Amino acid sequence: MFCREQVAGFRSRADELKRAGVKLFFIGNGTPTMAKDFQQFMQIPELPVWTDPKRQTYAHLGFKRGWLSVLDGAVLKYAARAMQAGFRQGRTQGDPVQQGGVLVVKRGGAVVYGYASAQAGDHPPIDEVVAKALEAAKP
Amino acid sequence: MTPDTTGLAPLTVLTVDGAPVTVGSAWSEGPAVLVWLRHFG
Repeated sequence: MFCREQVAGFRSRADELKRAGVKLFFIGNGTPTMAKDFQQFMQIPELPVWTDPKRQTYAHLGFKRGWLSVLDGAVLKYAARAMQAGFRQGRTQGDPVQQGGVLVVKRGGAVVYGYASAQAGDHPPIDEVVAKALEAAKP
Repeated sequence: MTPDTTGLAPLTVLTVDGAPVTVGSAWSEGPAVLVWLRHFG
């Protein structure tokens, strides 16, 4: 549910990012088949969906993992937000207790924005991410 | 968080077709937004 909510949010800004020359990538941690099914379900055939089944990138970035990040009280608030927006939980396709995050990286590798989710459903404001990305695209 | 991407760039992930690709290829030609999801659900 949270993944769908987050992807739908970025999907709505994908054209704006593309026009500025910013590439948008989604990375999960299931099998490639799960990634392909998710890409089709979210109707984002033009956007790369990658997967990291061993979660090496998650570990490298220090993204949270564990039941406490799923059972935290704040998750109920985030779930209410997502459900109110019409999103529903699908079958978990990957690690159920892994959290994610967002990076905005300039050409060459300089990170200009980073966000690590503290709990399930804790996402950075998309406007904030897009603003940083558009700034990163300026010559 | 503002991690150094030097160690991140060479790590390999898989495309939907199972082809390996380095994470650093995302920003090799221009800026990129990378969204790590909890899972595909």
